Amino acid sequence: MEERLRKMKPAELERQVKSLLVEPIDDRELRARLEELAGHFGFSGLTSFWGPRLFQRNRLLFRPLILARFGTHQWRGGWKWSPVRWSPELESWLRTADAADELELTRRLLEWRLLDRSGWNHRKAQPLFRQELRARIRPELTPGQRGHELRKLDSFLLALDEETALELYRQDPRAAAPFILKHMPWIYGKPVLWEDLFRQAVEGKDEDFAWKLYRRQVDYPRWEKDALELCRTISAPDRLLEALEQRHPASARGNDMGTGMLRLLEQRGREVLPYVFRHLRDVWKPWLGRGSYGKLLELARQREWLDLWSALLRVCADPGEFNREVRGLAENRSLTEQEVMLRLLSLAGISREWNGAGFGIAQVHLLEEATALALYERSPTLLRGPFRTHLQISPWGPGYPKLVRLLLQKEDEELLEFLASRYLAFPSPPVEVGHLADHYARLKDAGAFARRAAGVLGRVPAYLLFNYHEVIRKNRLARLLFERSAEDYLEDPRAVADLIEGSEIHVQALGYRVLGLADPRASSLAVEHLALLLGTLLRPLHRPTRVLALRALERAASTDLEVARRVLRKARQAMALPDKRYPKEKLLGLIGAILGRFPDLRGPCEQPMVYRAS
Amino acid sequence: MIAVVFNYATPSALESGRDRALLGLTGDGRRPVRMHGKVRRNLFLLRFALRALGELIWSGDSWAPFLDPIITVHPDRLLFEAFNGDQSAYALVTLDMDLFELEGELQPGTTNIDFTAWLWGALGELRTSRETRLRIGPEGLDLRTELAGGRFEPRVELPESWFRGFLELQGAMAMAGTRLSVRPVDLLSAIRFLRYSKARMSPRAMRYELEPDQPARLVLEPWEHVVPLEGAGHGYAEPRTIRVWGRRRLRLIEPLLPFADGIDVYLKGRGLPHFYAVKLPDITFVLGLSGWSGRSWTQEASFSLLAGRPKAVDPTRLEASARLLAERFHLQEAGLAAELGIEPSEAGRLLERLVRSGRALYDVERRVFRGRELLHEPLDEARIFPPDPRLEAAERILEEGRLQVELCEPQETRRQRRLPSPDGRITRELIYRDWRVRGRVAGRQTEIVVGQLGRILFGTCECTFFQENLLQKGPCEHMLALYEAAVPGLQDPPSSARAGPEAGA
Repeated sequence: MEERLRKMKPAELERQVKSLLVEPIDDRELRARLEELAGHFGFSGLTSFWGPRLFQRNRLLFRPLILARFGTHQWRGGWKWSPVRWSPELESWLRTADAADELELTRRLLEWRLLDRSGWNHRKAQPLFRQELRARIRPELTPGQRGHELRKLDSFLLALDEETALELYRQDPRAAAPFILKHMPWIYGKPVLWEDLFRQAVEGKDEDFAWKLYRRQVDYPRWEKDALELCRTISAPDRLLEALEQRHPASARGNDMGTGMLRLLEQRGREVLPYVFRHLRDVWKPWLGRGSYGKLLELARQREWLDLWSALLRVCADPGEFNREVRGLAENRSLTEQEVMLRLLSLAGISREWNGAGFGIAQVHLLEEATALALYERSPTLLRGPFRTHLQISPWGPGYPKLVRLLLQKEDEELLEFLASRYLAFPSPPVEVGHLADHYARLKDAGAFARRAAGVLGRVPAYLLFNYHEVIRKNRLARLLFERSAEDYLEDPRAVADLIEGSEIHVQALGYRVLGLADPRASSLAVEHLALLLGTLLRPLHRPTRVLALRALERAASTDLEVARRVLRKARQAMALPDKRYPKEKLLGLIGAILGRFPDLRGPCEQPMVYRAS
Repeated sequence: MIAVVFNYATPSALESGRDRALLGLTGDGRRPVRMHGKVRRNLFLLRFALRALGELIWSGDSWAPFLDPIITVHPDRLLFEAFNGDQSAYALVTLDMDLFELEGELQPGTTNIDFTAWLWGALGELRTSRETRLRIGPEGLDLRTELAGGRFEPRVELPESWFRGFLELQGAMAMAGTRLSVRPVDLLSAIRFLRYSKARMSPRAMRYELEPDQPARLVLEPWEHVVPLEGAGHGYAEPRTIRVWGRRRLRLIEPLLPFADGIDVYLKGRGLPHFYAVKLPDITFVLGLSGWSGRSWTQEASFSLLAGRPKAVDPTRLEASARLLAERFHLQEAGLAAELGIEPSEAGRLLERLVRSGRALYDVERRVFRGRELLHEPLDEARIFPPDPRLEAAERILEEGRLQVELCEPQETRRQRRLPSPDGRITRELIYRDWRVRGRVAGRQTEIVVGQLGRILFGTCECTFFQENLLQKGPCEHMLALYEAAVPGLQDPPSSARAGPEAGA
């Protein structure tokens, strides 16, 4: 069917649609057969034909089909498409839909009509849209009706001009304000503030709308002039901040706002700092040109505004500048210890972050090795604490070989654990990985391996290991911690807890493997972590990981009747899951093993049946 | 748009050493609350619940803005609330205070907390092997790292529709409906089935089918895949089907289900929000699904209209209720009625109004209203709930007298219950009364059924709006007019009678 549809010529498709519409079939069958034809990409081009007819026939039933397949351009074969001309039949359809308050359909039909009139030229269609809008929004409408009319013209093609916006606003400020803001024209060149509308909104005490309009349309020189004027006229700091916030442009439009901020700071000093902090991202980043970043930094230094200085370095500096400042402070012997610590502390943390729609990104400045060494020498606590985030290693970066050597000398286990947790994911490990592997191998002999190694693995972030087998083959540290030490982890119960609660799935899998070992310690630990282990029966897990978890559960269930009962109950529930790759045969094996060990738990249909010859 | 500015001393962060960890959640400095405590048990469940909350915040289909999670500190409970950007999902995480060994004084109240994707990732580092403390307060982390990251004042602008969606969904929690207690594995089966079977075309609803004397069952459309909900009793004497939407977001509770003791599903009616209270030891995670995303839910007047025009309430009593709620932290209708010396129905209206204006929330598990100010400044109700054309049309019908009420009669369901009383446990026959109202409105035959709390439960009308939307977009103008004409004047007879041995006494 799909092949036949794909090969269908435009004329053939049109013929089929037309014949279907005159066939004496009921509405539901017609919809089903049209849905089949709708798979053809030329189907939507015939909207002008099937749309009005289906709408008239049963608009409730056909509305989803009409809206889903609505099209204004007809396929003429090959790559040829042409717009369908507006016709009296479409005009009548529009009138009916409009009268029935079919908001979405009316909007689409209005777009079609107005674009057709303008020769499908969006720019030429703008005045027609505005004309239509003025004709529809009449003073006698109730607020609810006016809302409906506005939604019928809520088209992305509509760009208002000041005159139309003013007319709309005069009639119903509450309904018009969001509509105007949504349909303001794209600004190609210098933005122009709609002064009359702005004045009207201010006079009407509609401050919210007035300042939104201002923020969207104000140009940079006007903003700077207004902001400086505010600094001169408003003495109360709170009111000044509020007024500045009200006027802050929605977009810097390529202007470096740093210059304006510098002037504000020069005039009012620390009073405007909260405003400047909130908009530091509008100060140009160094790679877009220096802008006023340098001058702002200089001002902060001169006036000893530590908070502004540190915020500028965190948010606006490039990594080199950030590292220079940190290193300079770490090596500074002229300032007091307390002052150095305070300054360093204020530089730590995230520079910028974006959160939304399912993920977030945070940016931090990475510490170069020389900086990290200097900082460690000055204050190991700072590097272990707030600056630890700034120590990140990539397979392409230089890494921290000297720092690792120093940490090994100093036996700074906390930082070593952190760095090792990053290094063990490298498939092409640098030399320091060997040193780390030697260090952890030595700990085995000293009896301190379990806790430390689990500390490393517990710090591995989720999804860091995406090429486990390659890493295991090439990285000695990973091989030691993941593959060659399972039994050693049993020495410390807290180490096992760290493994099964790890963020990385391979770490969790190692934990399950440890708990599944044929060792009495494994069994008792498995019982201790039964709540987490039971969860693995229902969690989404890859097959190999689940098999390890099932083995751990079997160990736990082998110890005690009550534990076995709990495991059995959950295992029976898990049999009902529709997971495609769930190793149900292994799950059945677990159930069988429990029932074999504890016959009291068998149900009536699970009793062994012995057949004898009669 | 409503602009909200927060004042955070430092970013929220997790400081994790080898033996100790400190989760510092920084609250808005303008609304200080304080809660410091050591986590006694179930740390990994706390971690999963907070991460599920984070996933919900960013689960929207769009980059629409949203409010930082709202945290309410009460002496008995700690509540986290979040509503995602596309208005499709709401979460209420309730933690028992027993989960914590409190340190220092508790400062109750409500505030927003800084919650970023960075923190969400860091929550994965919580380990039971470390002594872990939770600190909620305006100061963020301790003095040692006070300046790390620096003070910041984020500003977020949210559309009125977002607040409307949030408040309406909150209001829906307090509505009467159907409660089912289901096994986590059954819900998990449905979620996994949906994970492996993608429906690329409608219908994409799920139906709860409630047959008398049988456990409920869940049917996934369009496959008509049946998931039996073992042990989910409902008590209906007649078959009933409730069709709801928004099932894709059910995946948000998937990480919690393997560890859950049970789940209470709250159904409010066809196409209306549905709620899933996942019960973990010491923690309850309530997921509310609106069934819509973005504009459809809140641009059309939706189920707030099921209660007709917002009831006029005495502003003095409203203020008194808000004050009382702030003092007592939580109240039921009966409690408020007794305190203010008013009828329970009026107390219910007052509490509903407080929820509608963002000054209270409904704790669906304990069935109490809790004091909670959504924002630092009170919300402008007129701005959040603008005029609705259907209400305007209903008012015109009433003014022009184009309405005739033909029938207005109660329908009673009686159940015997043993109730505690000062004289010991007594048996009463409780009478649940719905009102059936029928009439001819503007030439159309219209019928509605109004529940005990004065909300339209269901109805029918001959008009096109109803035929096309049923009650998915709320009642039509005719139903609203009929409601306004008949319901406000209804007298409520006693809602229980003596039963059992006491009946003859």
